[in-house]
Amino acid sequence: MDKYLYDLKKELCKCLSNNKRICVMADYHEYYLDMKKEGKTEKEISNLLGSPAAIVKAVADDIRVFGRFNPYIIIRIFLVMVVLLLLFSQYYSSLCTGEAILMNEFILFPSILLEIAAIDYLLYSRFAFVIDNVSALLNALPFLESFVIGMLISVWFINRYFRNVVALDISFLLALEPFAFALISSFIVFFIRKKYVKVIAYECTA
Amino acid sequence: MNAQLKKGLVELCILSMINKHKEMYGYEIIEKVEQGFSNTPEATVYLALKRLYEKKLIDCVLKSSQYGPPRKYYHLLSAGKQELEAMVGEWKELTEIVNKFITED
Repeated sequence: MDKYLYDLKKELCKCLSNNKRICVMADYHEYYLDMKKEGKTEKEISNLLGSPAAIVKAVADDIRVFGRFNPYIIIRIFLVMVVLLLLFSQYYSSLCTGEAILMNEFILFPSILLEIAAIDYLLYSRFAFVIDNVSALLNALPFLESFVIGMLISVWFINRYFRNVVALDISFLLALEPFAFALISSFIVFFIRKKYVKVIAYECTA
Repeated sequence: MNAQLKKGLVELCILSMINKHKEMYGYEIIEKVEQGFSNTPEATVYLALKRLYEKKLIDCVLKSSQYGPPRKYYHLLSAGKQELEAMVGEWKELTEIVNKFITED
């Protein structure tokens, strides 16, 4: 990536959510390529479009919602942790006791939906509390999220259809199997998500 | 020129430019505004475009480009045409008033 676009992306990561950053980047990427096509240098482009820091300041001032630190992010992270903890405790208790009472679809599916909604909200709409060295972690999070979703679906599948077939004393094997399912389904969900996010980026204007 | 004054006028200029050309892409608009008003504050044109889009005065269509991602081509919506007429009317009225004061002996 060219230095101007790289700097702009870095600055945008500091104070805008992923969605807004993708939208602004898509527009500036377009302007940048048009200028390059005309033979303008990086300096001329920076003079005409403005420095990355100045653009981000102007855009953030205009949006006014996002600051460098959003205290609500802590509450959101806490909520997501609670949801995840509840889901894993269900899984763990069903493995230990052999009871599958809590692992029925009436509880698990809404929980999974809640988890997806919570993490999506956290990652794609309002993740305003981003500092430079967290960017790499952020890029990995969609994969982790897909992994969790994949694992939960696998756990449900095994419990639903194999619980009565498999003897309880080999339940430790059951604990490993979801990871294999999860890994495969994670890749699938991850690539679908990647494509979907790209489409969103081209659809929005600002 | 005063930055605040410039900001307000950029929207009027963008609307009338798009109206004349029927369809324009982002960089074309930025370049033309920059030619008219030199040293426009950073992101002014971009944010003005965004505001006009959010107010549903303009819309955009993605058209493929051989140089990279698809380009957004902006065109005026009917609400935009009405807004432009109103803005032009206000502008003419305003310049008449100001001219009177300037030229008054």
